[in-house]
Amino acid sequence: MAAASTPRPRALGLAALPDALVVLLVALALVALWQLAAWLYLTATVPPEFREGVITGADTRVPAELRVEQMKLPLPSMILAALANPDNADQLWLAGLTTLRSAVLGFAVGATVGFLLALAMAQATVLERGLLPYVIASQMIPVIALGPIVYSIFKDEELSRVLIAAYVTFFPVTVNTLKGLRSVDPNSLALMDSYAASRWQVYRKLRIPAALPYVFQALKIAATASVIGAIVVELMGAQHGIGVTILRTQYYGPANAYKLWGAIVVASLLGLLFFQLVAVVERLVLAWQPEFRRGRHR
Amino acid sequence: MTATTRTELPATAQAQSGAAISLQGVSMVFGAPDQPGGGVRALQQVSLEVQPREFVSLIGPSGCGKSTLLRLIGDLLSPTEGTILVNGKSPRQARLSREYGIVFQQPVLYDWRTVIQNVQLPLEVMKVPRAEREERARQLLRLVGLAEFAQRYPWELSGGMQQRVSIARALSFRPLLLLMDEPFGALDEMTRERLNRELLDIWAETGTTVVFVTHSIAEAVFLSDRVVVMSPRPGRIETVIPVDLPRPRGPETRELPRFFALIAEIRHNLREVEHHEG
Amino acid sequence: MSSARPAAAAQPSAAPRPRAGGAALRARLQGWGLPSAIFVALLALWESSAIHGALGLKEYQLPYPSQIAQAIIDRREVLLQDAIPYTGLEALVGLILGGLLGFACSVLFANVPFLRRGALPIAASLNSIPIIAIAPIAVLWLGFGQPSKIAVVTLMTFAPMVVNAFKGLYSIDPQPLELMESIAANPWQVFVKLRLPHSLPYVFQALKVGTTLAMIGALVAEFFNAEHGLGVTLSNNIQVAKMPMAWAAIVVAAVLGLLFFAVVSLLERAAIPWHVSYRKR
Repeated sequence: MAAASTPRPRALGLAALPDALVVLLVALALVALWQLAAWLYLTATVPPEFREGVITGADTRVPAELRVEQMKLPLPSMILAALANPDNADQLWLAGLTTLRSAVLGFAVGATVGFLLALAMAQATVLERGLLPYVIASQMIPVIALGPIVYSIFKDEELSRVLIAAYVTFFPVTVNTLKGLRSVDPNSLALMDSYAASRWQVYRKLRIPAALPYVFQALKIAATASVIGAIVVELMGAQHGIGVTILRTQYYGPANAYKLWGAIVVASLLGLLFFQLVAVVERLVLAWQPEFRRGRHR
Repeated sequence: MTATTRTELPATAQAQSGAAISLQGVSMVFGAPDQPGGGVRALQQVSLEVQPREFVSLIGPSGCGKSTLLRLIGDLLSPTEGTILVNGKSPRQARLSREYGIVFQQPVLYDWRTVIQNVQLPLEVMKVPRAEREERARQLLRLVGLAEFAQRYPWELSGGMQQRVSIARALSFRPLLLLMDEPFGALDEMTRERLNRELLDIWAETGTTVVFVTHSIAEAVFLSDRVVVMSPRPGRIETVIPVDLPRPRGPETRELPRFFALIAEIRHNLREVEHHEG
Repeated sequence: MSSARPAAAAQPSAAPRPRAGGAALRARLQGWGLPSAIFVALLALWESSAIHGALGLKEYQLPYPSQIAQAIIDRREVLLQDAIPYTGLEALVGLILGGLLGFACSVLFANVPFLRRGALPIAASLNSIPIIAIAPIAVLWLGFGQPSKIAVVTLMTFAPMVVNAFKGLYSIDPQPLELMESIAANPWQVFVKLRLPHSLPYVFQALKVGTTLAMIGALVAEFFNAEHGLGVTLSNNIQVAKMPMAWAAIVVAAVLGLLFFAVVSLLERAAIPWHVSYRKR
């Protein structure tokens, strides 16, 4: 705890590596462990003559139970192979893109509506008092359960995905924008008053910039939720999208084990990438406004 | 060396003769010297002796290292060079023997504890039995005039009151030494003067040695036996000014000509210090 | 941490203890007035086919509130049977397990610098991954019943807890820590007397977020493979176009979610009465 004041020796070993590299190392180590565990599992549960067949899925003599076992702990190397295989591109990458597109669109719509609604609510207390409890309550309700319902009503998978993504984005964005608009400290407001700034000017120069960190907090949550929402819609009989791929490969059984896992990886990447995208945008946008940066929530 | 756990509290009198605090050629450098620009040299060759029961203030412009010096005495930092002795021991041993209490500029009270629980914190850590530590805490709250607020939470108290709780906590285990880092800096002038007076009363009653860091010349003069004027970059002791005002001191002390003369002298010294900065 | 709060302590003497008097209660009720009115108005509109007309929907696509209510009353045993021992239990157990695991990991990561730098970001990134996608695999490992759903929920609630617990336990201002050091507290004492109480607000924040995630996790995991639960009821009834019952399942899920959240909030109130959010301003 007490900082040593003696000059630090030239840092050796792990401490010297940049953070990003350490994360990469840990990730690689995890994958390596997985590969090892999967391989051990394979050799332990599957007799040698079936091993090749179990992995490639080509050998029909391999008993089904063995294949199912294999699905539990597959070799990461084979998952990567499945991901790279151009035959799978449609079901994996194209499907992923389909899902992502809808999620992003819905996200954009929901965020815009939420932001504008929050602006409106900040103006009209009536609006706020009437609607805020619902907006807050909806955060506690598994809104996603509405996904299948929406799909069954509109029967249009694209529209349903977008609607649900918009819906799950709208709520946190509204709540957080409102919180952010209100978070301005009274002294800054007094300063604006002393400049005889108009209401809109106060918003543009003070409240909205102050709200941005909160808004981005919500956007990051919403990014993941939008992807989940889009996937959930697909579980109810859609034709395209990564959720559909997961359902189908699961249904068609062990021969598709690696495609299933590949689809899971793709789905995970969707969420991760969208989240990181929002995070990057956040850093860019907020970097321009250091005086409003809330260092606390980093 | 493990921390000593005492089930009984030590007497206030110093057991050993000699200086309570002895600093010899203490230097403090933050950061690695092999970086471009070198490390930050917070303190350079500081030597000072503080006698038992003495009240010494450290004053100086920002960056002169007074807070660093305080933390070095308290073993919250280790010096790059030089030796420090606290009651004849290394700072680390003194800390492990719980020989000093510290008061920061912020009260640093734990929100989840009531006032009396906050005061008992050091005694809990020292594993003093419950009945004894509660009694001790009550005594101290009486000493700082907050006995009725024992069951309140810190946020129910004003800043000045919170700081008094912080002082009570620091004294709860009867340390031989009290380290105070601008404890009244966040308070208004009136409260500050009142607390200065109360601090002197507490000091007189407990007989602890006090090292007091402050920005306020008047405060330093009012409280101390000696005022140590420091200068920055690198931090060092510029001069030490004895305060020969009579004790006990009170509001009337603040109106003595000698009081103003001392303030002027110290102010003059500080201006010289700034001059050296160029 | 408690620093001198000049604004809150304008009175030199201590502020009075918060007490819910008649005035406060009245204000609370007034607060409920408008939203309740809106709720009733919305239901009325719905029942009167105004929404159907606006969106061009038929009865089989969007059931009326009265039909939904009827379905709930008629099949209440089934719905309760779904909600409590299945969906509710899966969500609850998963939340507890995920919370415990997350907390334990945050302590582990904090004490092993390599893991803190390398593994913590990975655990945090679990927040952004649709864990739902793991549901089929969970079923492979743990079967059709509750354990597989609990596993999914655990994974989902693990991430927010790791991040929050870590922040609460280890992002503490230097001075409270220096204080502990000055009285030579050992690491265990620092943990119990400082880190743990300090982390409680953060832990509860993660738990509250977790209740929503847990409900979602349990429901959606049931979509994949399950025999019982609100998610099963929902998807089954959609597939046979029995919409009132599907909506009934959603309503029950919503109520369950709200109850869950309310319980956690009450627990929070009991556990950290000292927190800023409860103080009378």
